[in-house]
Amino acid sequence: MPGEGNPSTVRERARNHLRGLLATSAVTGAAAQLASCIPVVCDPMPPPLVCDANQTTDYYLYQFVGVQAHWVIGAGNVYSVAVVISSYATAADKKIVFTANPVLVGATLGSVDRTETQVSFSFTPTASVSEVRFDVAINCNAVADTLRLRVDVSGPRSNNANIPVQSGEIEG
Amino acid sequence: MPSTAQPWVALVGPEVEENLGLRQLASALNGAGFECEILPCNSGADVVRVLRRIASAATPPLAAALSLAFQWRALDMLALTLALREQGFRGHITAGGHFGTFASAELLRDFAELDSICRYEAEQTVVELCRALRDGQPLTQIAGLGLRDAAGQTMTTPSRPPAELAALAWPDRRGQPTQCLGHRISTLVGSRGCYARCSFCCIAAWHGLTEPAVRFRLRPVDDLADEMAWLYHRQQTEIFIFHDDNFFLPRRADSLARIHALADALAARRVGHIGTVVKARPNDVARDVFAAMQQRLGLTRVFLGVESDSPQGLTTLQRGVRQEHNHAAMRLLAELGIYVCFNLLLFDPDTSVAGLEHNLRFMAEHVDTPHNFGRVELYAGTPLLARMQAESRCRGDYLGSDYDLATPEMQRIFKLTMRCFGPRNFGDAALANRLMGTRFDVEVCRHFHPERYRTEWLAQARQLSRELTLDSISGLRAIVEFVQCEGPGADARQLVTGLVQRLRAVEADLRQRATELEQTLQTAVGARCRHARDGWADLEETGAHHGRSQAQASTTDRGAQVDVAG
Repeated sequence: MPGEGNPSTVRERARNHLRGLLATSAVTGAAAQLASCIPVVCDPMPPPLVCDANQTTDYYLYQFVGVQAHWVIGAGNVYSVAVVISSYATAADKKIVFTANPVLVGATLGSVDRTETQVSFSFTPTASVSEVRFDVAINCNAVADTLRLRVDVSGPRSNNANIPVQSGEIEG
Repeated sequence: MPSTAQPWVALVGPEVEENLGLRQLASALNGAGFECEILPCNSGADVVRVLRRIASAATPPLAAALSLAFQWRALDMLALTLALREQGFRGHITAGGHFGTFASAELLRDFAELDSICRYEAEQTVVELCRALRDGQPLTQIAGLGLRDAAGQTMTTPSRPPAELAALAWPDRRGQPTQCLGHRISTLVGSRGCYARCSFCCIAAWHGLTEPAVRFRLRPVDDLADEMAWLYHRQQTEIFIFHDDNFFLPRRADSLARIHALADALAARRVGHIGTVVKARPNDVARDVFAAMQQRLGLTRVFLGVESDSPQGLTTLQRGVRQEHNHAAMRLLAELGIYVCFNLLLFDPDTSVAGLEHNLRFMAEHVDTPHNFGRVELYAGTPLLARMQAESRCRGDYLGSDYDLATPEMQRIFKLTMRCFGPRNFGDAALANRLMGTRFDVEVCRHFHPERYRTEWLAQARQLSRELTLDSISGLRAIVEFVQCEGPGADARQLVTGLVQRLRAVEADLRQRATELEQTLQTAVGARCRHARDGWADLEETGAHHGRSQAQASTTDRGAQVDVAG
């Protein structure tokens, strides 16, 4: 049988989850659409449930969020960085909801396209910086939190080349 | 929206494919004179759509019945419960399903907004509940409920014996069915429960706790054939996905007899060329049984419950299966040319590196078979959860339990594996799942369009699985080697960064090639796939309606079988 749990905690989690769902709905104005062609899987593998008390960026990267970045050459041979941050918590779970545009240090923000499960944006690094840091506000089960990420922009640049995105808190 | 003052019931739950649980409740309620709407709740975002739908109804539903079958969706449903009350919904809110049943006392304790839980199978319970609500009768006389008494204390009414499956109305089939290469798909069951007693399975636990405990019940062949014939002739269903937890019977001869009886019954009902998808345990795989499935019931895919090929894993999971069963089953299915896929629970509470190696070898032996891997989870009601609680190894609460593996070394391997393989294995975009679907498309083409089918497509699908599996094995071995060489506390930053980049790059390539193969198949056949339902589009098409349309009114009518029996 299920464990006892803490009634106030469980209830508060549900309430926070609701707040997150309502806030997301207000931001996006619509519900997420199912992919047009979800494969037929009789028993899809459930993601492991991980209960970490201190949720670090590494925790999210470890469990729920994927980040990819690459160089893009633009007009005047100016390089910018395109970043995609995706929640890969299962669609039915919605543990992670992106709630605000990224905040950057060491770069100028370009275009931003944000849904509840994905943030795509570009930035142009400030001249002379070797590292760009960006924070992305999220709700995790409706609890506000922040992903803190960084990319090293000091290396050689070429169009479409991947750039590792790291957390200062990568598990180790 | 509701257009009349007729009492109606909002049935809320996942509907990525036809939700047989909700749809059997809908049929039961319809049969008792209650109209229903099935409100899909496939994600947290759908919670808001459900809220709007109910709030904007001209007549509020008599009751909202929420599916708590899936433990990992509980938070969505509980949030919906809170929101309904905050929006002023005054109707009855009930819930049911596996998790709802096991956690009924805790849920009723913590959520005053929830009025009742329909425990165990609920077709009769929900009808009696709605009748009592409509007529203002007390609920305490209804069997199968979790409730609060007058003092606010949680209580349960007496259990209800499981119903005869043949006595239940067939699932409501409203809405547009899914389809593969133009061939319509219906889900159905020929049984409930499972004869096995796996430690991690909430289904076995559920059926074992019914009173009287009936772990496994079969539908009569004629009843099953009638429904299939109705679906074939009326809904143009050609692909039948059986959601029986195990399609087969404990004794080979019984399975064989049932398969032939069903095939004969379908032939008598003029059911033509069909495809079937079933689940099986490895110990059920026998040559004559699966040859009969293939030749007489159009077996197109088997989801084989391998779960583990490690002796320790098979013991921990109480599978009642030996490694020899796994190997023999895979070998036989390959000989028969039957498409098989499987999941492996690489990580369990007792997994050792040696056990993990057993499963990696199994993966290596079946590289071109689509499969996925993960950790065994601790579901409510299961013997495994009880064991872990007794050992004080659980974290979390009744909504979900986490645990550490047996050693720091294994826990570290698990964490690094999840860190690197998360996008590959879990969620709607998981490539491991996607390739199961790609291969299914190929098999459907092979089965229904032999004149257009080309063997190279099967080779391509196998190659995609091969490359993914080899890459996964390589990544897993790198993680194991790192932890064994560097120790469980070592800084894994470099390993993770490099591995994540490599895995994502491989996935991007394979995903693109899978898409191209799927498009090739669709072009060759001249039809598209729609593997997921869009229940909200169906609702919008039906406009203000909140129950069955006239055209759908006979979809659960057993009298309709007369039309198709020839």
